[in-house]
Amino acid sequence: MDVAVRTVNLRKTYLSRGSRRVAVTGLSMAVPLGGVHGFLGPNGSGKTTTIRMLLGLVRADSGTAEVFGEAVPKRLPHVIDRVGAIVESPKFFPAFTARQNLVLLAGAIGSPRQRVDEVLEATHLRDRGRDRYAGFSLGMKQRLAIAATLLKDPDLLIFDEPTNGLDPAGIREVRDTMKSLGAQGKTVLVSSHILAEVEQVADTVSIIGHGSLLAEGRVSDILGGAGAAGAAQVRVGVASPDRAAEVLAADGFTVTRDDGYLVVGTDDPAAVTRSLAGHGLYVAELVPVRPDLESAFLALTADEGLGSDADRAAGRRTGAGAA
Amino acid sequence: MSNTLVSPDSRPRTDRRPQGTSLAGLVGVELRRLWWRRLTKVAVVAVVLFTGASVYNAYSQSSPERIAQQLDEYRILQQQAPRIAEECRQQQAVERDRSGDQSIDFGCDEQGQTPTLEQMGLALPVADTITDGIARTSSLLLAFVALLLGASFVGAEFSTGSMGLWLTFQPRRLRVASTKLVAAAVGGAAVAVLCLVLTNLGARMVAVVNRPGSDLDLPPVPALGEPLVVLGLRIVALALGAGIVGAALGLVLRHTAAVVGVVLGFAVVVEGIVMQAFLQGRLQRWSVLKNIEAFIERGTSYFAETCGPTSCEFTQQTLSYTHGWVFLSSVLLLVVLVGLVAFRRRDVT
Ligand SMILES: Nc1ncnc2c1ncn2[C@@H]1O[C@H](COP(=O)(O)OP(=O)(O)OP(=O)(O)O)[C@@H](O)[C@H]1O
Ligand SMILES: [Mg+2]
Repeated sequence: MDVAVRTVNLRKTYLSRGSRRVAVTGLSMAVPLGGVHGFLGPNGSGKTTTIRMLLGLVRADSGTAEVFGEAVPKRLPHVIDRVGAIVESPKFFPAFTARQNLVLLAGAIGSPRQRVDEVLEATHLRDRGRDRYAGFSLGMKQRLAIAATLLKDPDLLIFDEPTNGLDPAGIREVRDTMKSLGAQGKTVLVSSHILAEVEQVADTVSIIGHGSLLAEGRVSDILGGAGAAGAAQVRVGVASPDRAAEVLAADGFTVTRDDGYLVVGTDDPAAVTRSLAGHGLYVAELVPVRPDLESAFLALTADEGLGSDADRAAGRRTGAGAA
Repeated sequence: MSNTLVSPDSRPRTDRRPQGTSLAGLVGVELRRLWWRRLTKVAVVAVVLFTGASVYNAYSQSSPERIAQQLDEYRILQQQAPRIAEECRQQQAVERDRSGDQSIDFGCDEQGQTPTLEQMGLALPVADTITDGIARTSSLLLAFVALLLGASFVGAEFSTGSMGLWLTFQPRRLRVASTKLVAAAVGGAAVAVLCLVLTNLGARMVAVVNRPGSDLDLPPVPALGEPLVVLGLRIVALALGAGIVGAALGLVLRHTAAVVGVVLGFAVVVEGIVMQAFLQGRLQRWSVLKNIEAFIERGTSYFAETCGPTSCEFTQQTLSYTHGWVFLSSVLLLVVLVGLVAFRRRDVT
């Protein structure tokens, strides 16, 4: 598999005021080329730190990282023009206008001046180009940050929690943007602690906790994996749930109650309807319970948060691509 | 697709990737940012106002009325001189009679002498002389302004967080740092040049406006010890260095306020207290301010204790021009080195 980003045993310890804080503990992950890759982990799990290491902003203690096959940070200058990144939150000079900020950045990479107007237009900021950055709303700041990454026409876009603080419309805009960039064949690496977000936009995902990889692979595979860990289930709505529960239990199904519904463990929903119909009970509603990333994620991180190192290793499932 | 932030056609229409920037191009970008900054504008206005005030001061000091008045006072002094000497001799005689000691000397001859016009600072207003005077007194202030500009130029990048963004566009740290230092140097030098040019223009105007009438008989102005341009170049060099030091300290301390605090703290504690209090003044040889003085004034002096075989006494020590510029260049080099190393190694978060 072609990878856009690969890290092997990346470690980072911050030293601040004498105290050591291990932020990333031997992270090995791979981001496939093209499409949206989620980088999921709870707060403080080391997502931002990893991104900073990829961009050469912080120096790893040990381990290696590469972007488009070039070792970073050593060969970063050779790939940086293909990488656009927004780390944590957009950071521009507040007293300068949007345009001034972009003109400086364009100058830094030798981008032609007219590219500034193009990206302002592309991010629907053309009318606000002469306004000071300080007066921008959060959504506009985010757009300007995206405009800045586009100055390079990058092949890899790294967005660190890009929807933080945005309203629903803004969140949707950012998501659609990432999807459309992914659809254009670019690689989008988006970090988030929000599962729904990753589930909605990402094709593949790396899940980390406490600075190391917990799971990695296609989102659908990870969900499938979580499904396999518990058996497949269906949610059944019937007129008399109590009787139905007895009937199903008698037929050997595992049944739990959920708000007037029954949750029945089975691989074959037809068996459930057949069993109930045989006793004169008719199914009003039957929905397969799809395992979501959230339960997979919580299962993984709960393990990880509470467990010893051994537990953590046991809880780790690594998809293809990780070292 | 109104829902995306990016229009589908976000690819560059110019259809080419960034060309990359030369070192000079990067310096150009930094200079543009320096020029756009508010503090730069404030500094320019402050320098203009300060220069204006200095020139105005020179103007009122050398107005024909004032010179005439001083000349009058001088003449009165001249007239009174013989009488003062006479009174002195009388008192001396009285004292000699009273004590019977004929060797008592009141130094009446000196008391009877009037200072020369030059000694009174009375001279024709000449542009170069006025410029020279203002330039010397402004040099430290210009250096401080340059240092502040340089410190804030870099410090603001850290405190707004935009240094991180900048590094994702230009990841070569040494390149980034050195272009910032060069821009700060240019900025510092420009401030000094602005001040000196304005001062010289102002001084020329003063010399024209305040040309005294022919009835005033003033001695010729003593020639300057060196061409004005040479002094100007030293002042520009000082401001240039101060700009670099400010930016380099900004790279280390990452905050404008921290740089200003450290510099002022150093000036007060080290320069003001430690240098004077310890080793009987001998430390002053390594004082930055003293060496700046030696550099600008082409040598200076300080008092320190020197010990012979039998006793110690305070004597005047000279600090040469060469010592001044060698010392200052070494300090500059050291600070730049520390700045570059710190910026190259440390995380930017
Ligand atoms: N500059 C720093 N100095 C010291 N410790 C830091 C620094 N930056 C991050 N850390 C610590 O490193 C750990 C990982 O932080 P990081 O910001 O990488 O997490 P994150 O996954 O991005 O979290 P979030 O979802 O909250 O953004 C945290 O424990 C944090 O306190
Ligand atoms: Mg983060």
